[in-house]
Amino acid sequence: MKRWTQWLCPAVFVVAIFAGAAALLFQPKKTYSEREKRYLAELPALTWATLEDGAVQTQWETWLSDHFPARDVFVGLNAYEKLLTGRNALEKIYFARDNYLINAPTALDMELFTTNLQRFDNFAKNTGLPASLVLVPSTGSMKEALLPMGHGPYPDDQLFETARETVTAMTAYDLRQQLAQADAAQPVFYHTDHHLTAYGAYTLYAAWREAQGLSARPQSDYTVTSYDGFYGTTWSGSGYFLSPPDTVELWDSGLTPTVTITDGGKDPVVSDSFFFLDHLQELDKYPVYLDGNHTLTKLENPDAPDGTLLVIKDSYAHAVAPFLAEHYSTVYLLDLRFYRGSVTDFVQEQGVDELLFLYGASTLLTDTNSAWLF
Amino acid sequence: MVFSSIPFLFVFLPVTLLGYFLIPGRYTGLRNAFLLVMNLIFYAYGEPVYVLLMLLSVAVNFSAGLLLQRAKTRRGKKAVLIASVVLNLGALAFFKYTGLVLETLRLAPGLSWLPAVSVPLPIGISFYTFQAMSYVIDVYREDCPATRRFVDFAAYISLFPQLIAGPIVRYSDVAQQLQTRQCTVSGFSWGVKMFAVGLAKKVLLANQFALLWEQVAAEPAAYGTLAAWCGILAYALQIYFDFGGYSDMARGLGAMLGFDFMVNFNYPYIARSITEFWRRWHISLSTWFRDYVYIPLGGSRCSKGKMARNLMIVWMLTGIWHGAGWNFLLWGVYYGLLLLLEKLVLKRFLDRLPSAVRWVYTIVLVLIGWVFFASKDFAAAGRYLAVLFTPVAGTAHLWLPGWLPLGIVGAVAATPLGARLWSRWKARSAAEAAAAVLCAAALLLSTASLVSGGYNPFIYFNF
Repeated sequence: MKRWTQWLCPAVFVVAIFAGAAALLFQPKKTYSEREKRYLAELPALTWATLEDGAVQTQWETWLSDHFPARDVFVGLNAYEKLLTGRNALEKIYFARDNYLINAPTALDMELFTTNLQRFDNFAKNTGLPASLVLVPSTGSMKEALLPMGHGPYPDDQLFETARETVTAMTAYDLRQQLAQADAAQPVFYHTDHHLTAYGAYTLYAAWREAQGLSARPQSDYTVTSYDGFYGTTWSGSGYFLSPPDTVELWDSGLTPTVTITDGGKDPVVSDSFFFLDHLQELDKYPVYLDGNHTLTKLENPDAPDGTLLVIKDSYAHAVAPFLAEHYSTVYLLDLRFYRGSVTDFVQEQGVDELLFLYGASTLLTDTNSAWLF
Repeated sequence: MVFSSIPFLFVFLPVTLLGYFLIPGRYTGLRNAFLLVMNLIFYAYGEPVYVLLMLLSVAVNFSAGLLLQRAKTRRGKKAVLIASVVLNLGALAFFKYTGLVLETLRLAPGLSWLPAVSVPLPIGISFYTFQAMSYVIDVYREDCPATRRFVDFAAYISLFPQLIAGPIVRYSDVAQQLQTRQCTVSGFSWGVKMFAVGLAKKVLLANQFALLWEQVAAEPAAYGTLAAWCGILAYALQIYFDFGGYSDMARGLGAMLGFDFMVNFNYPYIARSITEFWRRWHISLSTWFRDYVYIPLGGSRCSKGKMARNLMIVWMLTGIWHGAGWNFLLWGVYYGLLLLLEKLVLKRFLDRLPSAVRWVYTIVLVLIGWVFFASKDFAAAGRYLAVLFTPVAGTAHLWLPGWLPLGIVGAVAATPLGARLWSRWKARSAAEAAAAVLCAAALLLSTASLVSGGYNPFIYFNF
């Protein structure tokens, strides 16, 4: 049976493997992957020692994988293949309805969670300052109706309950109801990222103020500018690259602050805006708020009525902080992942009047940096 | 290097095929020499040091063949045979079982001073040692003549398609092909299909089922009885698609290069008795033990007592061949006893039962066998079996449905349905086009999974 069709399978196969080989060999190599926010592997140097223990092979395989032609297309293909064969609920990021890409629940470590809260609480007690604990719920716990069948259980109810029971020297706020109500009007969480939207951050801020019996600046005072094309971390992590991007909003009340960013060993960076517009050019635009993660960020607004607020926080606070600056002449954002000095000394030296612990609830299930709070 | 990896698919294989087919087909010796070089690169990539051990094994067994040919007396021949078997098994035993033996001896009173040594296991040593032994024994028995072509012989022992995970190809089966072989388009085309099927089995099925098994095996009691059954089913599918897929890829690569390797797996999970299961599972290993151990011991053509002894010897060896762990021995004993039971008692009853009942009987026993095989120690196996057979509630019903589509694909892929459909349709004109589309899809999706850092542990590296 000599038919031309018998050439089809060999042709497909040979073209595929030789095209892959040729592209690996000749295609210009990128050095950085924006989707993964990391530098791609470099070709390893060949020595007998690294060859013998397999290090060269491992590095070379990482290099091949990092520089594989159309890598993003393949990563996406793999994600959609799993999705279409019913494995959505088994993945780390769920493909939810209404174009939400939502992190699966974080593994429950109540011991760590409680330890973190106790450390916060002890610190508040030792300083003797008024202190608040504001936890941001996980998107999944707020959007359960959109999640795929068989998704993992979100522990947020238990987390908020434990927070309320554990802390004694500060007030624990559960603002989930206010967030849920606001979400009916406009999304408080991004679709492609785990953070609060500017609107969600405003809601959290206003709810916190109201819960304390204080006023918040009305929403109508703000001029909102929107930027399209925000592809957040759940988008990059999921491989569902066909999901539409979010819009990032900059809320401006006319306030001109002095923002000073200090990282260990570097000169401080000073700006007169909360918003770092360079990041609007990137896929992940969330760092537009206060330039993303830093050791210490100082927001100054001399016209504000109240004193100095120290926010001990993770990245959820970045979108909230500009609203807080309306009321406090100085707001410090301190990140325990990077800050290695004595926070007690800091509080005394800077004359801090009030403490706010602002974290994503699930961060406290994995983050051990509260050990640096001394 | 494993077949299901980017370095193999997009670097090693293109280079090998290009070099191989640039050498005109009539120069088989040259092609063998080229293959030998590529084999050594393939092996040295994973074992830069132990590649010398493999070459030593090649040299020893090649020389044993020549010495057997020259030996004039029966005693001389026997001495050569014994020397080569001792060397082969000695190396295998040293590299594979030293750690286990020392670890066990250390438990004995007064021997705790023994060092805890772990000798790194050379990849594929169990496979190439058995291939080499088959050659020497065949020459001794005068089933095949000794070869004088060192390069051909070295290329055969180190042949990369079956070097690290079988099938265990006997020298006598490929001796002719080492001298002349035909590479045809239809042979290559068949090889591509076989390879694509094997690659998809390994990457798209085995690697995925591994995730489910590992999840459940970590905490069977927490997940409950339903999950435990699904977990062990997942393991059964994982190990079959892993090993069977690898054998398919080996046969496919062999076919591309003009070789014809034996079928190693023949839909084992449709078997309706344990005896039949072992005629379908890892055929090249069972036939090796049959021809080189069981039959020389007297096989079944002797008293029932002796037959029982022979069977148990073979199955203990089969068990321990799979890994240096007492759980593997237990697994072997388990099958020895089951096969004995079937031979002596059950066969008569089984034959009268409906086929569905026989299938359930077989699959349940095979799944229990996998528990022994997959568990690190007896205690873990005991814990898993306890969850299987005493009802424990769990949360599995919530997340298991996600595995259902893949489970169905896996179950169907473990039956001959696909092969039957293909043999019915392959004569039609559109069949090759459809096959090419499927091959492209298998390649694309497998590559996608590998590029995504797909979960890629290779179970059979340990054997």
